[in-house]
Amino acid sequence: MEIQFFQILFQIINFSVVLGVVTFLLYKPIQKILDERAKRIKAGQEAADQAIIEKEEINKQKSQNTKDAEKTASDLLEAAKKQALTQKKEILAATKKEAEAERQKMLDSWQQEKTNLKKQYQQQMIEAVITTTEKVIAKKMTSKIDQELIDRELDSILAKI
Amino acid sequence: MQVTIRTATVLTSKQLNQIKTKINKKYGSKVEYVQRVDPNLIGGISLTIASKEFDASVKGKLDNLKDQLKKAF
Repeated sequence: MEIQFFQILFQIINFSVVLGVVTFLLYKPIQKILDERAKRIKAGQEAADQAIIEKEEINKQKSQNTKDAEKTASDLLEAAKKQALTQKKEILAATKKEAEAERQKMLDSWQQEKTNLKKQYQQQMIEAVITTTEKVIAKKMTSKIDQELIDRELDSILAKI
Repeated sequence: MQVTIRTATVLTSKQLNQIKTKINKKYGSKVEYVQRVDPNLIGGISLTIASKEFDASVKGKLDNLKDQLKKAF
């Protein structure tokens, strides 16, 4: 077998041409396509990463908002409880004051009633005593006693005239 | 002028004269005397001269006492 130099050279040149053509026609565009694909993939990846970050941010914000809302609700509830307790105390105090005033009013009324009854009783007692005295004196009175009484009283009456 | 004399029993003439003497001395002799026996007086005497009353009866004194006691209580 003889190695034909010119054929080898031709083959080398031929291969080089084919390689050059393929490189020029195929490699660069394909490389370009691959680069663009890589860029798109990278952009997509970055967008996904960004979306994940944003989602985490949103979740974080949501969690914070929930906490804030719970705190606000808790504060409102606490304030409402305090107000209710204050109002309850005020109502109780007012009721107690009213009850005390009513009790005092009743006590005063009872005292007045007692005083009136006492006075009434005393007046009736006086009437009874005087009436009884009249009856006793009338029963004991005689003409002689009466005449002596008139004699005694006449001097003082006539002195006044 | 009228003088009313009220007693529980009848006045003696001595007592009546005593009254008339005193009144006539003060008001003159033109006085009309009216005597009334009122057992309600219980005892003593009550004179009414014109519209003025001089009450020395037992009833009058007890009524006076009753009024004073009522005022005191």
